[in-house]
Amino acid sequence: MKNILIIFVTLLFSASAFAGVNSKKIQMVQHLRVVWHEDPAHEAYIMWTTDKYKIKSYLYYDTVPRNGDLKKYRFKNNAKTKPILYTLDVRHKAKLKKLKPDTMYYFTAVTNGKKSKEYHFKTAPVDKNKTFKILFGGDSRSDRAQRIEMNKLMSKMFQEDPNILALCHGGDYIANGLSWKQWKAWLEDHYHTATKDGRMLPIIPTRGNHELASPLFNDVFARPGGIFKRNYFRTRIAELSILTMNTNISHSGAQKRWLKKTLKKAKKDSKWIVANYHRPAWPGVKKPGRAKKHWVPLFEKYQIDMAFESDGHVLKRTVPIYKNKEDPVKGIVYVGEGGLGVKMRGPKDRWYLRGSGYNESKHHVMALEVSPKQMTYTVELPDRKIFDKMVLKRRRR
Amino acid sequence: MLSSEEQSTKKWTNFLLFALFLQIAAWSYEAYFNSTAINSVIFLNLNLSDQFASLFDKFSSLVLLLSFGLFLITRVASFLLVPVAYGLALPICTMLLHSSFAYEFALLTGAARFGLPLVLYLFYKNQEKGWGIDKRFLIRFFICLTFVGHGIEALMEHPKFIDFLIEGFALLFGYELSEAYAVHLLTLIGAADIVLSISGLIKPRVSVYLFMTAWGFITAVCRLMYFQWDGIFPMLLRSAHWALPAFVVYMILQQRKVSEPWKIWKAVKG
Ligand SMILES: [Fe+2]
Repeated sequence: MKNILIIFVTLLFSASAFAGVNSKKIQMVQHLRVVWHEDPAHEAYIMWTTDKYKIKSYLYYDTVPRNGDLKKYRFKNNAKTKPILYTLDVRHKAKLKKLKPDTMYYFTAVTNGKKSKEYHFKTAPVDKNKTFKILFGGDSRSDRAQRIEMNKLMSKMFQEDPNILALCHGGDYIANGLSWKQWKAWLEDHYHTATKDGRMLPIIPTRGNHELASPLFNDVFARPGGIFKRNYFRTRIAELSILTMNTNISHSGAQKRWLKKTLKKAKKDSKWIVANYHRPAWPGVKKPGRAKKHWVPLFEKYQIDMAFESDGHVLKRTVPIYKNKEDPVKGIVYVGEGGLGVKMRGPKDRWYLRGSGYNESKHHVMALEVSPKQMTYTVELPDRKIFDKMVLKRRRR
Repeated sequence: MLSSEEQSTKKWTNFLLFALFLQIAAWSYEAYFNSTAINSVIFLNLNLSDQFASLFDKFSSLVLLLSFGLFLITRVASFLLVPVAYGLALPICTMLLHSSFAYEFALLTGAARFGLPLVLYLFYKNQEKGWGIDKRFLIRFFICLTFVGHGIEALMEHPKFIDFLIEGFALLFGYELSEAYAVHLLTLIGAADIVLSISGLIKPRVSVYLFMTAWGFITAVCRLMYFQWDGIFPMLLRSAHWALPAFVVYMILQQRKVSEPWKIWKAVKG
């Protein structure tokens, strides 16, 4: 039933998109972005937007800079184009495969002869001894000026620390997931996260409640999780497994089965396991989401290292929680709640946010540094102060 | 002296008042100890302070209880307009928050919750007219909106409903229902919700409203099963979902002069 409705709406809007664009002249390549899903050491999506359908679109790329000289690039990828639902714009998606791990790739997007500036990004490492950092944060939906500030902060961090690889965004990018206008603004603002010399911060996407069941989320981020898994997936970077889940769909059905299976696998092949999803199990503001009932027992059973949550518009860290109690040995720390461009809430008092935990009204970017012996979690504030630092040692699983 | 018919109407009207009390208790609890969609709209959309939004929640919680208490003491119908306004404000704020009306059916699903105090207000405003045909239709109309709203959500595969079904099957039958089956079942339930509520609106049948009473009760109680103690107030919040259909059953039986509850089967067949 739902599928029929979606297909109907898709056809309706696709038809209107075809009808409206022929007379227009193509504008510049916009909204260039790098999206990571499951295997960022070897694969990446480079995506962008233009406004004309039935066009030739290519991505030229290489492991050395070519400054946009298309003849010099060693690799060329045919980008897939698709009209964006409800709009007259067109999405371009180049899926890069068989990339070399831990390698800088330089790329230029070309659509009907118009080319972008050259940008670059680094693929994830596979080397277990390599130290790297992933940024975490969510909720950038309703304060655009603050969002740009936070993006500039990430850019500074990125500029200063080449070990940073990507941003794992916890969802609620924009207020209305069905509004392409809002997505466009978010995508334009994402350029602010890039370094001065054009290194792009790849995005590991999570669906938030403001993305609703909107197909635009999949248009923007190349359907993370693929056709069958609905936006839940595991990102593997060397010894780290990030399990991104979707709190907008059933927590107990196929997703829970996947979580169990993936945790079993991750236990064998990853030293570090973190969960990442939007609606909190241990909230700083609202009531607990269904993750608490369906996922937390699995997190505890498989002893994940920590969980990143969003949605509440605070900065929180829980005490280590195991079976509804503080437990310094087996407990899991839940952090986050989203502060990348929203008005922050006043802190609320909860038992799990006392002691080593906290609940603050602060915009923030979190960073997780993974090294062979430990993981270091830090929280950076807009004034560049490090608000929190926590070292995690390898757990017994 | 009241006739036996008047006495039973009074009893059933008190039954509706009791359901409204449960609902107001739940609203008040949620507003006082948690936060509501109204709070979020004040904070995010109106850009006022978080403290003010929380204070507003606490204030509205007390006003709800106070107005209901004053109504019980004075029987001044206007006090019932407070829960009507609150019941309308909640879904409107939910819709404003998500900024997308296409995905939000809160105004439909919450219809019984603002409908219950509204029909009671209309009744007490003009008590001598009793539960006339217009009010009876209005009750059926609000039930219909609520069931249609939930029916649409079920057809749209509301993830919470899927989880309720899977969890319910596991608890009751020890059987792990697959998500695909849960979705099929939900489609049937959604279609039944819509068809039955519309048919009940057109022609009130005891069998239809008995089913709706039972279903309204089960779906309210399932919150308790799913969330355990945290589910008490979500369950009470849905008191109108079974109380209003039960009241319709009473009305039909009263019209058919079926006074003894055990003769209900006769009325169902009829
Ligand atoms: Fe959210």
